[in-house]
Amino acid sequence: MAEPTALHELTAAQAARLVRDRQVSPVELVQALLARAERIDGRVHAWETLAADGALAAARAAERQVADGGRSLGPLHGVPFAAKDIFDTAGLRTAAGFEPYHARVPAADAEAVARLKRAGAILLGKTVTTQFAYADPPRTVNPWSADRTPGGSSSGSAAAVAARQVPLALGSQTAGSVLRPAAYTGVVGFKPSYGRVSKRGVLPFAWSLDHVGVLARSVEDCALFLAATAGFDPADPDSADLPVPAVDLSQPAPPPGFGLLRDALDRSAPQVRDHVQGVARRLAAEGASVQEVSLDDGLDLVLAVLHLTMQVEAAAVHWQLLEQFPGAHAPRLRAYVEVGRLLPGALYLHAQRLRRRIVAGLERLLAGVDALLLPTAVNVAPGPETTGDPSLQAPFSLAGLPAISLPSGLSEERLPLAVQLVGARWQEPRLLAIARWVELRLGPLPAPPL
Amino acid sequence: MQDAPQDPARLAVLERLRASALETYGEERLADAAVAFALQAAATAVWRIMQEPLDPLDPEPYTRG
Repeated sequence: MAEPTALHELTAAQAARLVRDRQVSPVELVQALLARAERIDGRVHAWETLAADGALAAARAAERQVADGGRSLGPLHGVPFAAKDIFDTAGLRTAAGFEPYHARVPAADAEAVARLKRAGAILLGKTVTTQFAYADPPRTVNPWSADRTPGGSSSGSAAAVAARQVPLALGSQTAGSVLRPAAYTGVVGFKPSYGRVSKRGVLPFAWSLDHVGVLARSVEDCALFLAATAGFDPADPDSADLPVPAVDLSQPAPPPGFGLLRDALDRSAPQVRDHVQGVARRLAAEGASVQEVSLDDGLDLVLAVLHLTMQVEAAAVHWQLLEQFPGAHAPRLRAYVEVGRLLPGALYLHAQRLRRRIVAGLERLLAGVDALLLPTAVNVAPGPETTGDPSLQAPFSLAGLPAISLPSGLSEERLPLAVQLVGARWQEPRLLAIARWVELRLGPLPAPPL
Repeated sequence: MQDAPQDPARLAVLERLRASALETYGEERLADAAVAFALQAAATAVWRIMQEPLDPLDPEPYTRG
């Protein structure tokens, strides 16, 4: 048996292998993570709800399956995971940080939750989200520093994974809500192409931008997430009816060709710009080719289109709730929806036409390189009065392109820094192989000082 | 988006949005700091998008390609 004290340090892939090999019991694993949450979550506030009884019951069942010979075990058999509290979970409250939903208990799991369970994963609980995944600051604290935000809106998912309370957590990204919290907390954040993972059962914020993603501690874990959750869902109108190619990280990838995005460097704080340029030099020294590239349409236009699209769609999602439950929305979300209702429809459609041009430009850029390389965030995690700046994640939410954030070092203040890689649409296996190549060269971050 | 520019066209957009907010939600909401921030951000986005004319004969927004 592995040392019990080390169980919380396991990545999802490591835990899955150890469970399959009977080196670790799923029950011990769940108990270790519950004990860790008990010990440290009073400082992190990552959890909205811990489903201790359900998780232990599922772990006991998983243990029996292993003892019975372990035939047809799923790739995540016995591995605990968390879900942001906008993912419906059968029999477990899903409230999205919205008080009128305090007793909302869905009858069915969101499709992504259901697929993870079918792969053998065990739901440990629900993590804190900003209200309806917008930008009002959460109560969650960054495990690296109590006076910094973990980012949002997947705040609890990122903080729980960073604090070694769970190896894998579902998040969602409309502008930057998976990759930015990942960057701020020193974990890996991955969102596949728009349409790759079903959004059914996930409370929406802006339909054409919402993505399901994952927070984890390795690229291999992101591949496991993708294998478990990707694929057509006829009940989600945005789900892509396309085959999902397998991800094979066992073979070393050849050195990739990167497009270092100049617009993103220009937008970043000096410490981030210097760091990412240093990372690019390190990768080039390892054999990668690196060329500077720029957006056809400037970043300001891309962000304007993103913001207008998101605000109008969010207003369409929320205006009825705003009238039904006056005073229940958080201040920034309420104002955002109110102003969104004032924006004209013709302008929204103009923005969608510009979006089409922007997407075509990004796809042309990606045709000349294996992946874009850029900072994930413009700076390290700011204070708790904000969830941070989505400027460098949002373009790829707008375009629906797959993107991954990898921890790449610590700042002088010992806060995580991160690089973002962006791939071509539907090319998640290639992106993950490139990310693995980078991960091997950058090495792991230490655990946060909890 | 970065610093809200003092471009007269942007300020005109902001004024139109403020008038619309006043008419729809009243003075008390208009004085709210979160509303003021949302109006500023929306004005910048609208202003920037309005600087990008498109050919009326270009494809409609939802066709792929």
